[in-house]
Amino acid sequence: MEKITVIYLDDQREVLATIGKDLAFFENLLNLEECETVDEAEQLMENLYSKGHYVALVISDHIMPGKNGVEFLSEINRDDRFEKTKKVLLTGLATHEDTITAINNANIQRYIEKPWKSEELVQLTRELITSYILENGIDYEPFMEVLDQNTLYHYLHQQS
Amino acid sequence: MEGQRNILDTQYIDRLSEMYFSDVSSRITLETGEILMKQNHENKRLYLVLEGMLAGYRENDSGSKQEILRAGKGMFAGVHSFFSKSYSSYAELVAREPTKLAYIDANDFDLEGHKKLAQDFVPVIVNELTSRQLLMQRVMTEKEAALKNLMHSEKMATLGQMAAGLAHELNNAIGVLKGNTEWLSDSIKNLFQSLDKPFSYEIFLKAIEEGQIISSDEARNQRDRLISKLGISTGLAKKLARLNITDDDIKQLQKQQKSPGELEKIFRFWEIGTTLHDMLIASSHAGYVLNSVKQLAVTHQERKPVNIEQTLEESLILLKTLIRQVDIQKKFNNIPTIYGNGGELVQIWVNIIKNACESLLNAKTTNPAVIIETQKKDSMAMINIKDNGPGIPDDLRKKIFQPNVTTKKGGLSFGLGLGLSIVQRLVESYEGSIDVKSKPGDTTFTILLPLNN
Repeated sequence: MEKITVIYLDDQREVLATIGKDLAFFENLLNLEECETVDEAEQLMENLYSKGHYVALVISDHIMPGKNGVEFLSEINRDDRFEKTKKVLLTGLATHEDTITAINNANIQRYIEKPWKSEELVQLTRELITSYILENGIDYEPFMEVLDQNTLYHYLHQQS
Repeated sequence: MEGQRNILDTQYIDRLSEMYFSDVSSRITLETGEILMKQNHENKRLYLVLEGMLAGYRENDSGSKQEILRAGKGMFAGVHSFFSKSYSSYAELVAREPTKLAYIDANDFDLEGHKKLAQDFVPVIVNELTSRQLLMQRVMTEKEAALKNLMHSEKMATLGQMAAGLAHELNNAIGVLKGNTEWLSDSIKNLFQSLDKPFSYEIFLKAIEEGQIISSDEARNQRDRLISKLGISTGLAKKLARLNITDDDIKQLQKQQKSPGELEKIFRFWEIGTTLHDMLIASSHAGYVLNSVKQLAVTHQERKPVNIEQTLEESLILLKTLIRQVDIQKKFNNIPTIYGNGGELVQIWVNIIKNACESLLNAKTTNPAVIIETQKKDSMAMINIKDNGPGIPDDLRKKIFQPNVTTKKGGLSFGLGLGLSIVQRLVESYEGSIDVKSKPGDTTFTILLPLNN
């Protein structure tokens, strides 16, 4: 079974722990990694890439000291190695301009506002993971439990 | 409004005065408040002010009267009616103080005389036009400033009302959350204690006390150690790595040969503990934010004579932990008391000193220092709070007193962006003023508050 990682990034510990609880649903099949700083996340991504692991999804807070979430996701978007990585911005405070940059430069898939609903985050993660697995031609059978059936059905329907 | 500027050459005025206004029988003296002429009444005279001051008022279409001109010594009045040949007064002229005037009468000049008059008085007429225009401009500028002030205070008042409403609505909700989180923590504590699992209970107590203190980066390193030492799966190691367990703890776990199921349970105890910890932190933080918001809607607190220097000392006590790394220099000059509220004053100082210290520490300034100086300046108390930090960038300095402006990001020490707007509101409520000057190495907030008299 391929190693598939989901990274979530927030500079506030308590928020990170809460996201972790929401994503615990995926812990048996996916590698969940939490990060408190952009530097840490960048290093981790390098590391995972060098081991040949997939970074399927990055969920990032926006307002952080140093580089902000939109800047970080924009950088991932420009990086060929993580071309197919799904990106989600999770924030309680983003200006209109930030949001425009996020869509245009970071090519983010979704924008979630804090406070978020647990089911919403789980469902979103399901959908994006499913797309990632299918788009990368990864064998999806072992991941059936966490896949979004709707996304899977549409994909298979298109193929046939 | 100051008197109108006379830009005419005095020699020229003297010459005109000698040529036309030397007849001592054509003189008038007015008492303060006496009316020289009414608006739209006949006027065939041109007046030169010898002494005192005239003010001109004109009634507009909606019936309100506005001051449109002033004429002091060496200036002329009745220029419009005299030279426009309308011989009808453009404004009502009133003496602002005892005033002496000399005049000439249009009836005393023949056609040739009028021609010569017009020639001689061109500079006076032009000056009259210009100075009225300048006056108009000044009035408009003043009006604009007044309007801006009004809009600002209206905005702040609305914000205050909104804040009060918001605080009221949230008060109960946050109170319930906070109270119940505390209750839940105690109940679970009691329940866990009765389970007779001393190791798990210890872990739980520590977790509720300090939360997760291992960083995500440290946890990743700890993960591999646990896998090799305890021989557990990556998944379980990942969980346990978040606990702050010592090498001794690990040895104990090795000795007891805990099963993965039991280890998972220990993690659960810890997770419940940190969750309660986070909830307690978050609810008290929400309470703190709410309190700050309430300050925006601050109503008048009881005021009595208060010693400013004492309130500064109290603020320093409140900021004890923060100022430990900063050299605080007090230059107190035993200033008299002001009429105020100690709590409000402490709030002003805490906000400013806290900002100063945080900027010093964030910028890692070498020899960080804050100098607090008090002095009496006329009828005001002047308090200077100065730091040697990196300074406030120009664009930020201009809007620093607006609500929702913050330089702080992240963590629980995040700024609400209300601090300085609250400070400004308080200072304004004392009819005082606050000002900031900043360059790298010297940022000074100056607060002036009226002394008790």
